[in-house]
Amino acid sequence: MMEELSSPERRFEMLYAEHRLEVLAYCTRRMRAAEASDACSETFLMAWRRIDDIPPPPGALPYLYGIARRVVANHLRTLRRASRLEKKLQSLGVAPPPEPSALVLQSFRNREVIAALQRLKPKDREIVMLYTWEALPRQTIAEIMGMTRSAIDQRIHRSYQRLARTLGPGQQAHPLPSPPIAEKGGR
Amino acid sequence: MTHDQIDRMIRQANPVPDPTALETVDVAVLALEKQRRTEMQTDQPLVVDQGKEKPKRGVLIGIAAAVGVLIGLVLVLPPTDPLRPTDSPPLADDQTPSPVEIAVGFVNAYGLSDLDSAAGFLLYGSDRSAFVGERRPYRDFLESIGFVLILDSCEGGRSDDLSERVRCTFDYHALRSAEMGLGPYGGSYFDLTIRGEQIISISEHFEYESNGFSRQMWEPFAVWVADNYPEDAAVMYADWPNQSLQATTDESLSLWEQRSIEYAGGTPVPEVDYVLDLNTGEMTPLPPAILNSVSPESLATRGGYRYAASSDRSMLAYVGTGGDGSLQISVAGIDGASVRQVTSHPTDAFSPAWSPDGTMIAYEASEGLFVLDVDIGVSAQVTGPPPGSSGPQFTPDGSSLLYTSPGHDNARLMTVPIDGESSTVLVGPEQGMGHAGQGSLSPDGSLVTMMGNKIDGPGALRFLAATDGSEPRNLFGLRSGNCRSNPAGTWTPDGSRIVCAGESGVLVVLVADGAASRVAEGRAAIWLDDHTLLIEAG
Repeated sequence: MMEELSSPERRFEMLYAEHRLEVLAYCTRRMRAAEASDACSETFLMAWRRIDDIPPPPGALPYLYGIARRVVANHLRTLRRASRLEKKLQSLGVAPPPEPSALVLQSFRNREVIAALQRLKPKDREIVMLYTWEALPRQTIAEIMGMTRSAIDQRIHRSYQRLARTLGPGQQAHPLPSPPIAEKGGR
Repeated sequence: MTHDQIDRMIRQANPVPDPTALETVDVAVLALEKQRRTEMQTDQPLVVDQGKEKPKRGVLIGIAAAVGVLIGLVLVLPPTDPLRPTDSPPLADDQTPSPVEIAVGFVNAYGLSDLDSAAGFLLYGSDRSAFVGERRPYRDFLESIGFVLILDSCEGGRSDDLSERVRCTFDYHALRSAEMGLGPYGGSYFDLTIRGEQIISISEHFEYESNGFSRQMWEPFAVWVADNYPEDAAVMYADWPNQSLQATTDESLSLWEQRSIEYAGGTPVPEVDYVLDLNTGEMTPLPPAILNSVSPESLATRGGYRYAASSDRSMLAYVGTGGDGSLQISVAGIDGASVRQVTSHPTDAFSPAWSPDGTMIAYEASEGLFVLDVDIGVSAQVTGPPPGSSGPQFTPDGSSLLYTSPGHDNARLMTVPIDGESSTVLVGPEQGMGHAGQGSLSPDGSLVTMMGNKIDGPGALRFLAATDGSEPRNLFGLRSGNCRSNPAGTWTPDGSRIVCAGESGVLVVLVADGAASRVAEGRAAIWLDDHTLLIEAG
């Protein structure tokens, strides 16, 4: 019975049940939703193949993020290739496949923030996202990225300065438009 | 801008602030897919040879077990779907629903908030990570802001041997935009991948910016709430003091409902029968003179109908109450002028239908169907025995009535000349229908819609057929529970749409592809013109 519990299958099940949503969220934050679930399942397939290497909690999730990071990067590369192919097909008159979608109502401001994030260098962007969106401690980020803690500190500091420059003044450039119908509702 | 401000901004822009919001996603099918693909690519073996069988099974069992638990918690998929004929004998080959029909059926059910039926179209464990509409809090939010989905069209796209992709585009009203004379807002769509007769993957693109929804509705409403009800706004928006993300607590949802109604000017839906202009959203109660003389009986229990409009839309015929308490037909100008009772039938008279020239009214009584000459005030019986004929409608040339005959075993649609000759079957067993009722001819007489079932087929479902005897086609997802119609007012004058009503309220159905939109609460409705409905409240 005890052997059953600690069998690789059992450990994988636990890992999956425990962290599936976090990994899926990680992927969904970085790619379109339909592709994200693909990347999530691939992450777990890879995790299964290395089940014996995966550290026990609390180390498991950062380890999974580490796998997911490579999976996502691979996917994005493939997608870029695909989108080049798509453009080519389009120029030949072949219809592109439908596009998946945004998840939530994102405001102008949030989209500006995301656009600004996308202008960071890939490594800096990943560090900032792990820090803010996955809300990981800096030490853990250092482990995932294979960098020192002080290098992470520096990168976050530098990225924030850059973001402040891109977002600072532009932030006011898109005030909410004056409501065309406020009068009617405002009585 | 400080470090803290930047930090807060980035955190607020998190596309998935809460991973548990992704809970309905199911990776098992994708894992299977991937497995299949990987197996086909021999240059990329999943694992080395000798371990091949075991790990693969491990992954699948592991994932399936974990997902099984999650699905048990978050997804309630009914074993069978009332809309779909799963436990009935298979339909004939030519009746197998096409991917587009399946897509329309799904979007119809979804748009009618019939989530159980909608789920019945989805393969158990299908990929719906990008289908936010299914997630309960989001769906509840849409309901609280009066979201109305108007299906535009479903079109097949790329397909391979196994599956077909269908894109269904839709417009929507939200935040009471219809009541404010704004919208509907286009550019949104579902992408569905359909295999066999099931949807194996679904994603939803919800457009809100390029179509003006954000600018016309979301942002002005945000400003209005923040100005007038800042305390409510703090509850309603999850990212307050930003206003880009709704909170979905019960308290928040009830505020969204109240405030959006108030914002739109707070026109409550009339509690009496009323006229609804679909172009403007304007709702006008019927004139008191008519409302006061309409019989309060709903007639649904008798399978009867309350209203009919003359073809020039100037007059209404309706079921009123005679001096002895019986049901009798009355007529009035649609403005409520000159109300008068036109029948004095010995028993109850109901289900009026005008002749195309407005000189006659057909109606139903227990002995059969009668035709009244409105000016002279004399009725003549045109059907029966046997009694039980119901739901008369004049044929477009005015020479005959279309009606439902109870028949020997099953009901069928028949026509009878009003001068009293014998009846002819229009739709019955010879057209493959085991039962057919509520028949209504299109204005040009080329099409007929009805409620019924194929011989040995499931039912009662809504069908559409050409009157030249071709086989009736099921309008997928529409059935007697949600789509009963009054034969005398089913079709728009231009023949493009039909109206019906049931548990989901009043539905307008596009004849071309069967796309249904819920337009109002109400238990029955007839068309007055191409964009105006008379709706029975309640």
